[in-house]
This record gives sequence, C-alpha cells and structure tokens, in this order.
Amino acid sequence: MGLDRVGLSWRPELAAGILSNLDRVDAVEVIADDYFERSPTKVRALRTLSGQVPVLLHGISQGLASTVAADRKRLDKLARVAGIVEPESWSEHLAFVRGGGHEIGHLAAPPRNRNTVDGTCDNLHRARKIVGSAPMVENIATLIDPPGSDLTEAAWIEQIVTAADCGLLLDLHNLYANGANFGYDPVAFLERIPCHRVSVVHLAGGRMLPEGRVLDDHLHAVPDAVYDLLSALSARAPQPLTVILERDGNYPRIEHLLAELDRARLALRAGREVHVA
Amino acid sequence: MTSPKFEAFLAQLYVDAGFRARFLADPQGLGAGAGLSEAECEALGKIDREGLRMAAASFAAKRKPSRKTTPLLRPVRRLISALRDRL
Repeated sequence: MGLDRVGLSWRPELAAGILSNLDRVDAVEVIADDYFERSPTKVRALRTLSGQVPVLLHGISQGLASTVAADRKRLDKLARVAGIVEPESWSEHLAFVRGGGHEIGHLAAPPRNRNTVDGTCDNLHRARKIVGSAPMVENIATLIDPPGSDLTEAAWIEQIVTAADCGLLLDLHNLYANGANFGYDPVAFLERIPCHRVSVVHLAGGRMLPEGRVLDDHLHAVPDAVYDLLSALSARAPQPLTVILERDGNYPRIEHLLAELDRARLALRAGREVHVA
Repeated sequence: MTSPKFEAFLAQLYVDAGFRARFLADPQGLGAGAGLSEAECEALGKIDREGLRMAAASFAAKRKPSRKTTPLLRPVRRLISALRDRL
C-alpha cells in the first residue's frame, strides 16, 4: 500500500485504545477547537502525542465558506494551537456556521455560487496568512439543498480548491450521504473534482432518517458503499492518502474500530490495483 | 447572488423556529422584508422545505447541551478543568 496511512479521530473515549494499538493506528486527527481555551501545558501534551503518532489538526468552527470575513480571534486561537503542536497539516470544512449573530451550532452548506467561491477564497487566504499554512478543505454533508445555489457541489469545490490552491480533505461518507440525499452518483462526482489535490480522507457512518435522507452522525459503522468509494478514490488518486475513521459517540470496542481500519486498508489496496486515469 | 445578509437570513432560518414558521407561510415576503435581493427572494421561494425541516432539527440536536453536564454544573466543570490545567 506504499505510503498510505489509516488512522482514527482522537477522542478521550478512544485515547487508551489508540495508545495501546499504535502498531495499527498510523495517524490521529485532533479537533483543534477542543484546545482553543486549554493551557499551553495541555496543548503541549498534543505535541508529545505527535512524537508517538502523526497528528493532524481539524477545525470545526471557523466557518470559512462564507461571504463574511473569517473571525480574526478564532483564527488566532487556531494559529496558537498549531504553533505549539506543529501538526502535519490542518483542515477546515467548506461550511458556514453562523450569520447575523446566530450560531447554527453545526456545519451548514452555504449557497454554492460565485460569491461564496470568492468569499471562501478570501477566507482561505486570510487563514493561510494568520496560521502560516493553508488548510485542507473538507466537503460537508447536508440535509438541505442549499438555496441560492447555481453551481453543482463538485464544480463549487473544484473552483475553490483551484483558485485558493488548497488541498482537499475528502469525506467519503459526506459524499455518499449527499449523493443519496440529492440523487447523484458519488463515483461520477470523483470524476469532476481534482482528485490529485486529495491527501486526507474521512470515513464515517450515519443512518437513514425516516424521511429517506442520510444523516452523517458519526455514530455508526462505515457502510460498504463508503469502502467502495475509497477504492474508487484510490484508483484515481495515485498520491499517498491518509484515511481517518471518524467516530463521535456510541463507541464500540477498540477492536471493532481497528477492524474498520483494516477494512479501509484493504479498500485502498483494491483501488491501487485498478488505476483509473 | 449571496450576500452576508442572505447568510444571516439562512442562519436565522436554521435556528429560530418562530422565524421559520413565518418564513414557511410567506418565504418571499419575509425575504423582501429583510432587504434581500429579488434573486435571493426567488431562491427562498424555491427552498427545499423537507430538507429545511430536517436540517433545522439536526442543527437543534447538535446545539443541545450534553446530557452529561447540566447547565448549572457547567461553570463548576470549567473551573475544575482550569484548575487541572494548571497542575
């Protein structure tokens, strides 16, 4: 499998299991926002962790996909954590999370149009200046087709990462969910985005809501279709990939998660054997 | 099309149940009243209503405080965490 790596999201509930299985966990991804208000000592603990296993930082509250300028203070907090931890890379979502004083409390899909492409690129430029490096940007899952959109999701993402010259963190469960919710083929989506910019991949599980849409809740096992997408991606992306399994609750035994990592390794390998130009 | 004003409108639509109810009764009227452009109001008129309901419910669930910590205990927890950080 070459330089591909497979790891887990770092959560307190999983820490012991991860640390006792570092031979099977190639990398961990830490939520940066959890450390914004922590003392330097606590943040330095992450630096110590990075001596044992590669650490990637993941932001959730910057709301960079917006026509509103990203908040300087919040970016400063991220820069502080990144400065201490010196992660391999950092990432944020292509989402807006607030507006007009209203905190949405989660990741919302902005209208996909030229204005939000430009606003997002401005924010990515601002983030790069403040943090010292550009984030990889992640596609999000949505239950609502964002109003005011005149670009497809694939075109919108392609325009942002190309104009901002950013890496792409491709969340395959988000892709699977949006494909199911809005009736498009996730493999065809892979043909329309710059797969050469993907270096990190998220896997997760969700559930089907009674209304017939998929909710990306990170509380369930990764569905088969998402492993298939990982193979489809690795067939199209010859560069090394770091795959992170996200889990945010309803935690199973660590052996269960390690088995999911093994399955991800198999899916990566299967794709590597079928190169798609 | 998309202004900070439109994003603010969407954010309120996602978090404020009363605003959402008024919106569903007259999407374009509420948009116009908020000073949105004609194109923005037109987009609101075509909104994915089922998706809006599901997304709002999902966001509300995310905003719910953890059951592990009641609001009254949260400052105590923060204090304990801060003290632990200093040790």
